[in-house]
Order: sequence, then C-alpha cells, then structure tokens
Amino acid sequence: MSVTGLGPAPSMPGDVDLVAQPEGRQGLLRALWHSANGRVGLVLAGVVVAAAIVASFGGTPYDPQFQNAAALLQHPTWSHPFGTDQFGRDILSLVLDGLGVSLEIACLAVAIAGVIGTIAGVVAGFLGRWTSAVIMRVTDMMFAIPAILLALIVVAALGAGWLNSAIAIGVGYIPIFVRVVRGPVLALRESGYVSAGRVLGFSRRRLLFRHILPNVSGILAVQTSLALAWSVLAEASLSFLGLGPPPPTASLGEMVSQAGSLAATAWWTLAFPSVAIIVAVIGFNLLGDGLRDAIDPRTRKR
Amino acid sequence: MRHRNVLRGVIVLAASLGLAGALCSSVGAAPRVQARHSSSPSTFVVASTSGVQKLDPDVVTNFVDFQTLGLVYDQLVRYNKELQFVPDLARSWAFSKGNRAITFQLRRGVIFDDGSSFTSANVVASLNRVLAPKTGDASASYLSAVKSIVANGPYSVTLVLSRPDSSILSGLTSVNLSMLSTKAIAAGTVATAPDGTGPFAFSSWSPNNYLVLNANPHYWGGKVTQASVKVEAIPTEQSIASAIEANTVQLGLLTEPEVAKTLTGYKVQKVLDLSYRALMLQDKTGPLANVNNRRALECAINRKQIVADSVFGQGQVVGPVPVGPFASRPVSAICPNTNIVAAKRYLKAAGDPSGFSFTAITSVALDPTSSAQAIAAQSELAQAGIKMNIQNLAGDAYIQDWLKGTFQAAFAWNGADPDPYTMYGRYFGKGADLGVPAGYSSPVLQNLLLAGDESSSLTAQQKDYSELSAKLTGNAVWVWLFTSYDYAVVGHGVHGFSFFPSLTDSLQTLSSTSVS
Repeated sequence: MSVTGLGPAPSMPGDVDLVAQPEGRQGLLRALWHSANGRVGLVLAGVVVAAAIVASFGGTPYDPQFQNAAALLQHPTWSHPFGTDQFGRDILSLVLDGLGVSLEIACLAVAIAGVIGTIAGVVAGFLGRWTSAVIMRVTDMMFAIPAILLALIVVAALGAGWLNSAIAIGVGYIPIFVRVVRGPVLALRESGYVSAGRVLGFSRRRLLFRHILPNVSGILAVQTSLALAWSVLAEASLSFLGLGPPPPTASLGEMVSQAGSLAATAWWTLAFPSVAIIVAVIGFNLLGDGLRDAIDPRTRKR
Repeated sequence: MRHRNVLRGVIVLAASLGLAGALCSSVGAAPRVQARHSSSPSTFVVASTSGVQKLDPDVVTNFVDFQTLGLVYDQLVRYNKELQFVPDLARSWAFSKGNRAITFQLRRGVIFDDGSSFTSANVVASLNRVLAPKTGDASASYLSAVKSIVANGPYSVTLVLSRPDSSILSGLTSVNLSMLSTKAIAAGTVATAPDGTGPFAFSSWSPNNYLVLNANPHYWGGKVTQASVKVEAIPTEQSIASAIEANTVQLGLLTEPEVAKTLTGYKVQKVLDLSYRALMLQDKTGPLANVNNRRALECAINRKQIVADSVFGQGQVVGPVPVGPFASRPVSAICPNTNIVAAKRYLKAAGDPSGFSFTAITSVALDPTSSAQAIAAQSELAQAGIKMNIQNLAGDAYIQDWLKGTFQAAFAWNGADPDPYTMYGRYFGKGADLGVPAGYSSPVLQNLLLAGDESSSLTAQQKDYSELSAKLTGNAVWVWLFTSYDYAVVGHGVHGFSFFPSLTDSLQTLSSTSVS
C-alpha cells in the first residue's frame, strides 16, 4: 500500500486500507473515468462549472437582469433558446448566472463546513476522551435537527443574503464532515506508521498534519462533492422560500418559485431552471460516487 | 459492478428528480392533506395565501382578517356591490343640525353570539372603544369628528359631530368599526373570542393558519346555509388552485391572473377591488428624507410596466384616489409617465446626481404580486442610478415592521374607499392612527383632508381632493402604483356566492351559498 503525501511509508500490520488512493492525480482521474458514475458525474459537473465560469466572466448571451418590455414570456427561439420570463429577461442568461451564484454559495458553504467539520473531526478522532465526547455530543445535537431546517433557522436569525445563505448551508453540513472525518482518524491513530511516528518522538502536530490529515483527503474529496450537490439543492430551496440572495442576484430556486404560477402557460420559465438544478445535483452526486469508487481499493481492483 | 453503478445512477437520478419535483410543485400536497384531515365534510373551506392574524376587529389591518371578521361582525352601514350605502344594523339614518349630527334607527331582534340583544348601548360602547386611545384602533380617525355618542332610546343613536363630516358613513362600513357585545368589551375578550351578530359565530383559531366559524342560528338576516366555514392559509396560489381541483377547498381567493387562468372549467369571479398598490416611503431619515430623491423615484418608476409584469396587464395605473368621483387625474402631479430625464434632474437637485440606494420590503405571503412589482421597479430605478435593495419578509414580520414604520420603503397593498378622507385621514389626517407607517405628515395635507371632509358641495370637495392628490404626488409622499383585480374561484357544486369589492363585505354572500 502507498499513502499519498507520506512518501515511502512502511506497510505495517494494522494499516488502514480505507484511506488508500490511486497513485498520483493521473491515476485518480483514470480510475474516475473508468467508473460509469465518475464519467457521467465528471461531464455533468464540468458542464455546470463551465457554465458558472462563463457567467462569472460576463459571457452570458444577454445581461441577465435586462428587462425587455417587448419580449415578455417569449417561447424558446433562436434568439432566446430558453425563452424569456415575465419581465422579458433571457432565461438562458439567468440560468447561467444562477448556476454561477449557486456554485459560489455552495463552494463557500462547503468550505465552511469542510474546514470546521474536518478540524473538529480530526481533533475528536485524534485526541479522543473528553474532547471527542464534547465534540460528538455537539455534533449529535446538530444532527438531531435536519440540515435544511438548521439552515432555515440560521437564515431566519441572520437574514437573507448571499453570505448568510452560505453560512446557513455550511453550518447545516458541519456535523456530517465531523462524522466522516472522525472515523478514519480513529482508525489511523492506531495504525502502525502513526504508532511508529509516536515512538520516534514526532510531535502531535506533525503526526496530524503530515501523517493523518493527508490520508483522509480522499474521503474529504468524496464528501466535498456530495456536499456540493446538497448545497446546490439547499441554496435552491432557500431561494425558493424567499430566503436566498435577494434580487437582482440571479437564483435558480427563486426562478422556480416565480415560475410556479406560470407553469401552465409558460412551461419554459419553470423547466429550464429546474433542469439546471437537477443537472448540477446529479453531476456532483455522481462525481462523488465516482470518486468513492476510484479511491476505494476494493472497487478499483475489480 | 457496471450494473451496480448503473443502478446507483438510476437511483440518484430518481432521487434528484423527486427532490426537484418536490421543489417545483411547491407545497400543494401538504395543505391539501391538512385540509382533508382538519375539516369535516360539511365544512366550507375558503383558502387564502395568508391566515387570520388577529381577532380584535378594531385593530386588524390584514386583508384576510377584514374578510373573515366581516362574517362574524356587523356594522351600522355597509356597501353593496355598486358601492352604495345600504342598511346593516342601522335600518335608517338621517343628518340634522346642518350636518352636525347623524341619527341611526337600529334594527330590532338582533342577538349576539353570547345571547345578549343588540341595542343602542352596544353602539355607544363599541364606538367609544374605537375612540379610546388604549384600543389602538386602526381607523379611529373615521370618528375624528364625533363629539359625543348619545343613545336616544334602546334602538336609536345620535352621533354628535364637531364639524360636518361627509365621510362618516363610509367609515362606519369598516370592520374596524364593528358593533361589539358590551359583555365582551367589559370582559376584555374581544381580542380572543369574537362575539358578533354576523351570519357566522367564532369556533376555533390557529393564528396565521386557519379559523373556523359555525353558522349563527340566531342570525337576523335569515337562515345561514353553511353549517361551518373554515378560512385557511395555503401559502401559494398555485397550491390553492390545486386544492380547488382536488375539491378540498370550495372557494379560493387569488390575486395572480395567471393562476386564475389555469382553472378552466371553474367559475372565476373577478372584481376590481377597493384597494391599491403603492410604494410607501419613510421620509424621516436617509436619502428618502430628501423630497427630490423621492421625486426622482416617482419619475423613474414605470407603473405601466409594473402592471404588465406583476399582474400581466390586469390592472390600472392609479394615483392616490383610485376610484369614485374624486379619482386622481392625472395619476401624478410631477410624472404621470416614466421620465428618466426628470428623475435625473431631481437627483441633481437633491445633491445625489449619481443616485442613491435604499431598501424596500415586500411580503409575498401578504401580496403574491409584490415580489414581481419589486423586481420590475428595481430594474427601472437602476436606469436612473437608484439602487433598490429588496427584502422579502414573512407576513407577520412585514406587518410588524410596517406598523412600527421600521422600513425605508414598503411595497404595500392598502385598502381603498371612494371617499378620500376615509382613505387618508388615518394616514395623513390630524392625529392619524397610521401616521407612523405613513411617514410624511404636513399641516397642508391635514387641512385639505379636513376641508374636503367638511364640505357639502361636490364641486368644492373635488377641488380640495384634487389638490390633495397633487400635494401627495408632488411631494412624492409615496409612489402610487396600480389597482388590480381580485379573483374568487368557486369550486364545483357551489351556488349562490357573489364576490363583493369592499373588503369587509367581500365574503358576505357565504351565508346564502350552498354546495350541491
């Protein structure tokens, strides 16, 4: 077994297989591409990320907020492939912009959850005893509240907005990262090379940051991808309820909400933002699945 | 392995579609289930996007509160469908002493839900409660001219006026001036246990959720055909439409024409209701304290476009007085139509040539069209360099902020009346009950309102109220937007319902509505 980031770490009895990773980035990508889920996920997530980047650099066909009074609720045409909404705005531009905003919020939310959750998980797993007990009881308490409800509570307390949405979603996902990270760290703590490091007098910091943390990066990558999918959906849900970033910030959930009353007469106002949410969610979910397949040696060897 | 992956992919796809579907289909299913479980088969369910928030008829401001309590309480006078005064608990009335007194002859044989009889004592107690400052009646200004309330006997009452008051009758049609039981007033239960003389009696209430009424067996207006009526909040109009189709709701109150249009095969009653939309402004602090900034706002807004975007053209651009003989013409004294050049000129005069920013509150729960109004206005204002931030609030949070005046601007849906004093006396009159949310106040407006109200000549009143409209719009006190249609969608098998334009009376025909 080789362990990413550790160099030629000796294989010892008790080493943990679950953190094994394919060799190098190319190996990971190859393994990812060989998984059907990974392939589809990579393509869909790539499309979503590309769309978001295009929108961020102003590459939308029209100014997403431009209201054309002469083009209210137009069917999809060559000039407006996704049609226009009740304000005469180009839906394709809005969807691209909305994807960009959704991804920005989702990335920040996952960063918040990932950083706090990973630190808490590593500390709980590595230090154990009362530190672990305290962290895990707090995590249990947060787990008792559904993540979307927790997000709603946070937004209700902080107010609606871009940053607050990200914080709300991030807070809701912290306990999942704590749990996901703590398990492997508990196992790694008892592994042979960590014990060897301890015998050699390595400091706790060195053991944590150079020998344990790099070995949970694979699991973190999987979890990050799955969390991104959930965050995109959570952001859309908050916006749907009017608790997301306020206009003129484009938001897919808000578009779906606005289009609700128009579904029967202008299907395109509802269909395209919904499809964008679905593609983003499926893409990141499958990517996460693919990563898990690629990292899991049992799946990879078959 | 490949099969497992494909299977997993299918499951993820199905789950995602399910989640997105749930997101897209709004919350239609939940309220339907709730309605099915909480209503007996004989209950007639009326659905609105907002629930009843308060039970005290003197203090309510929410539209559905007016509509619902209008079924429990009666007033002395009411509007008919043509907005003419017709007797309610007063059989007749007459002005005397040079219009400084009005005497009502009361209906006999009227019984409150608590079993007590309606007499002049109830009129005196009810109207004194309205006038008592501690009540906090939202419409006490309707009685601002009343000097004393004198009972001439058990079934006759005279309101002695300090001045001629042409709006007194229109004020008396409001739920805020309902006739209350003296027992309930003495016991202090008006806000918790409605006790009226209307066709329905209070049964149960869950704030912001539902209110159940039972038929009043002693109703003076004849036999009530519905044994039980439930007024229920269903958060979105699409869900109300679904509930109508599922026959779990018999009457849906809608404002969005596109939703009403989807209900083909159902009878949709459409009335140009007695209300108006306005962007209310607070003038005490911030950029909106500057009159020229407010004028810039008024000139930059494209009202016609807001009507097109938010109610799909199903409305009319109006000024401060939307209907009746004193309707505002033109709709604005400074910018009847959008004028970006004028807006920029006003910004320059205000010392903010590059524009300013402010925040406007909306509540989709209270007015489903408010979000679209705000988005349309936001884009128009941006053309003049004015940045409007939008903050959408839950219904009760919006009302709290609105009443306290803790907003810079508010997309509001306010009740209207053919009489300008009834409309604006409580906002801009002397000692106005709603002076705080109104923001702007001025002795000029107070005097114009008073002059119009005191005048007995239609021509003189038209002159005063025309000047009132000009002052309100010239100072951009608020930005008046439009008036639109309300829709009542009647379920299959429902007969005899007729939707009225006045809020208090809009559901009054439920007492004679039948379901086959």
